[in-house]
Amino acid sequence: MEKQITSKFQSSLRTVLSSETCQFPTHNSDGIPIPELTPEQKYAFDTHGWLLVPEVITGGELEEMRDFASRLHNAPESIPEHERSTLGGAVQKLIEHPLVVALLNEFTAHPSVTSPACYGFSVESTTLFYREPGMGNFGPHNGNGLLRFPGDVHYYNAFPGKGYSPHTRIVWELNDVKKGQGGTLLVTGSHKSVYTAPGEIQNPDSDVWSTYGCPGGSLLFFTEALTHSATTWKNTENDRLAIFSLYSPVDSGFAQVYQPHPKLFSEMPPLRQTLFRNRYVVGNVNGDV
Amino acid sequence: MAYKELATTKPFIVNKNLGSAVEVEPEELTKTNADNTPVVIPTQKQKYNFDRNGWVVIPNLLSKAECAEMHAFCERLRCEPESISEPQRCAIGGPLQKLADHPVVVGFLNEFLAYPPAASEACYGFRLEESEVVPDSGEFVAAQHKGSGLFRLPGDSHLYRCVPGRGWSGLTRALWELTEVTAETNSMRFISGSHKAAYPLPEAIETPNSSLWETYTCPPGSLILLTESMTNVRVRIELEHVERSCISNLYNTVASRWSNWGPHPQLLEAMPPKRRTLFREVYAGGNVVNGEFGNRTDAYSVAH
Repeated sequence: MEKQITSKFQSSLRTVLSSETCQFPTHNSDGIPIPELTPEQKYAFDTHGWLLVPEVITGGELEEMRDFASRLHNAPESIPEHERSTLGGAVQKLIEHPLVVALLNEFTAHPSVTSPACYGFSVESTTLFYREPGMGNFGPHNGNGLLRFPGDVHYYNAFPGKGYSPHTRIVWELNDVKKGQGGTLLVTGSHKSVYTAPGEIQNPDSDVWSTYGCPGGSLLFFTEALTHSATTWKNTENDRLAIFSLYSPVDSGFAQVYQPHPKLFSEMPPLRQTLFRNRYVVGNVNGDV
Repeated sequence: MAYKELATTKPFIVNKNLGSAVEVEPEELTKTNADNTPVVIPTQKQKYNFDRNGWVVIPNLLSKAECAEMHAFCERLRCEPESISEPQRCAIGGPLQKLADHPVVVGFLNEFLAYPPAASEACYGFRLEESEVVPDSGEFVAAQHKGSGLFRLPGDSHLYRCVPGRGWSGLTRALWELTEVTAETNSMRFISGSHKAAYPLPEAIETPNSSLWETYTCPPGSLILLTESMTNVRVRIELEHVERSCISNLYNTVASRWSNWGPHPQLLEAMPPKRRTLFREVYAGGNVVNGEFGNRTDAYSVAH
């Protein structure tokens, strides 16, 4: 198939922004190139509302991250105060992993607040989910994002060739997840639903729900416009060790603006700092645009 | 003449969870303003015209005395700003402040902008982004101004969305004309219906004389509401002297922010609590005073 030219209106009407002209960062703060999402990845995320990429982090790097995350939960005082979060130590770089940036550039970034020196999206929250067997409460929420009005950010917009997920969740599963034993539950395609959820949505064992299994180091993306839920962790071989990060457009958010520890923030590279800027649009971009 | 009622007009507005509908109606949101004046519900015709055109004029809302007082304040802002204390030296200072949550504005924004879970009797369901005294005229800059909000991907607030029975305008502007405006003195130009335009604008609009451009006329004390997702510009007025005072207030959803303007802290502090909620922090989740965020977003709740 020939390359599709997608376009989006920007604030001046006679200019239609071609994707080729959007100046997204080409490298992350660590100088690592941002890859292109494959056509299959874009298609799957838009069609299903979620995408799992297995074994993104492996080996010694994964071990180092597991160790930090475990200490964060079990022995936080062993970590300097300003590093005591999922933005600290070995896991900080996950917040702008090249694959994360690639997906967010496609589905969440807004061109008017993006430049090679500035991300076009913000971090709304990031937190550690540590679950032992028996922990985790079922509670289905969200969904039907396509026809929702934008007032609460949980929407999904699309037209031929382009999908847009303003509220996008990234889950780093640092430990193994066995399918059906506590991984996040997702209702595939429900970000575009036009019918209300059926009664059996209240049953975590209903075949309405999809879920996944994956080795540690895997990366799950889903749009918050999708109906999803936590569920009880049942895996007795390992606990759940997952970092949940939530990204929003630069202009809006569901939760209050996330602010890292000031010392931690000041030590971040400038490009990474742009993930935590104030919430508005006009002139809120660094670098050449 | 009595008109027949349509059989049903109730829209389905998607709520936060599981595709359930928002149960609360716009008429049930914040029912009084900060001065305890009852909010005015827009008429069916006003709603119809705003949705199809992208703008609506509501004439003669302010009395002659109110217009005179406000116009005089605008003149001081323009000509002798030092005569006004610094906190009040803006378009929501002095007698202009009450325009920010005028009952007609609140009623209209409850319909077209408010996020119902973030609205209560103590708290508006929308924010005030910026307030300014409109300059008499400007340069013609057609190519830089908006439009096609229906198909625009969110991210810059210039959005328009609709489902049968309900329209939603992201950035919404309220213009208060304190002096008479004629076609000769009005620098505002816009294109009706362009908030829903599916085609890029033709080259013809690059001249201010294009027949696509329209404007409005109105007596003093009138209110013009328009969606910023509509194509609009300001043109240069060649008349030697134009006596015009116009206040422009720009509103946005509780979750989003376009500009980085805010009132002087002392001015904000002195406002009634409900009016202060127009300037609250930008986020949606639970961002309501004495409200029912949980009930209003609960898929299974019937109470509100």
